[in-house]
Amino acid sequence: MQQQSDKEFDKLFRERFESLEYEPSAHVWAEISEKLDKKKKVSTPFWMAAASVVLVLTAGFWLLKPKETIRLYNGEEMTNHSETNVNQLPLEKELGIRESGQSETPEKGSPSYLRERNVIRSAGAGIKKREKENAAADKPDTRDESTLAKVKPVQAEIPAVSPDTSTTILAVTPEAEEIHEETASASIRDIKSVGGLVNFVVEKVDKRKQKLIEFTDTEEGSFVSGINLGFVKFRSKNNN
Amino acid sequence: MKQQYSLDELIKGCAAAKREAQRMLYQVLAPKMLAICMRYAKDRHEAEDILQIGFLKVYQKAETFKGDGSAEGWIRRIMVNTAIEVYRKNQRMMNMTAIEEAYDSAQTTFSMDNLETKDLLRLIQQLPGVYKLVFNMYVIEGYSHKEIAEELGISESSSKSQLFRARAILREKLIKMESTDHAAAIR
Repeated sequence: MQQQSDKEFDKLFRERFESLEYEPSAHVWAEISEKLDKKKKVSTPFWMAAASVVLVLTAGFWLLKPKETIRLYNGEEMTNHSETNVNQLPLEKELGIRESGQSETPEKGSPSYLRERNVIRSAGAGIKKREKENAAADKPDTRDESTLAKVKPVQAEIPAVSPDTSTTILAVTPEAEEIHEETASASIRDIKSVGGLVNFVVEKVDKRKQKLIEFTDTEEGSFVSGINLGFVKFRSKNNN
Repeated sequence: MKQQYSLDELIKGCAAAKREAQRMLYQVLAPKMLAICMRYAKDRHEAEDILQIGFLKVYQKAETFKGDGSAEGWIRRIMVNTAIEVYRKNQRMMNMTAIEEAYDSAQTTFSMDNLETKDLLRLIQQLPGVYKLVFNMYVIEGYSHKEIAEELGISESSSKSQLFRARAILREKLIKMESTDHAAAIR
């Protein structure tokens, strides 16, 4: 008996199987085309799309309500300015950099006027309208307080208080503006389905790590993979 | 059926989800691919399952095909990967059959001329566990031990020893077959 190297042994097998062909049964293609058909038909139901739009709008209104801390801040200042004045110094500085034109002449316009201007200026992308309404709705409130704040500090010994009051309110607007700019500059990518569109909008509105609602696209269509309502959280295990 | 379109063109059509392109690609390549699946599967039924899953994957991934390599090679690889996946899935359900002690049988020469391909195929199909994967990938697909190690998540030396044992098992069985050739023919 001769010695046969592994290479020769392998070659004998390779030669046999390299160009081998087997005709598959007819049902294989039938099943493949059936599965391809199924894939095509799966799409997001209309109600799902409608429901998510409503959800996102609601979330938008809720999350973009001006923070109450603004008002609290004013109130605090009225009762105790010596302390708050110190705290406000860095804020004022920051403001000086961002909005030097406006902070130099804070008394030219009422704070609410400035606020409105900022909102209008940044309006442009789709979601803005809502936010403007929101801001507008709160306007009377803000005005009341700011005027209140203005009246009282006049009697105070420190003259700097009244500009401070107006800048405190102003300080919120640059932040709000930042959000607007992000929205405008964000590129539209990964939007392949209604789920993707909702994800896109939610991401712009909801800055939390776990979004209000999150969709995942799969071969079968898109489905909800995460919900975060603050008190109720749900997250699909497949996602990180 | 005349091959009017190149494989690359057909894959492009598949990327656009054109059913006609999908059907033609299947018609051109399914027999070759089934022959690959047969070697990894335990029987024809399982092989056709692998073929089906593999082709669906090809259609799904068609967009990602860059066209810088051979189209057939790309599809072959998808089939082999699918076969590995199916093997892993089925392995969990199978109770581990005791692997025969593979001793280094005499280095006999086999001509294999008088053995039919379907008999050889059965020998490969009956190789236990990972031996079958490694033997197919190395000997017939031409993967390197490094590639096999990566695909299967084993070490290179393990891949080498698995191949060594696979050959030993095959040699042993071939001896048996040659000696019982006549008996088998009568049966």
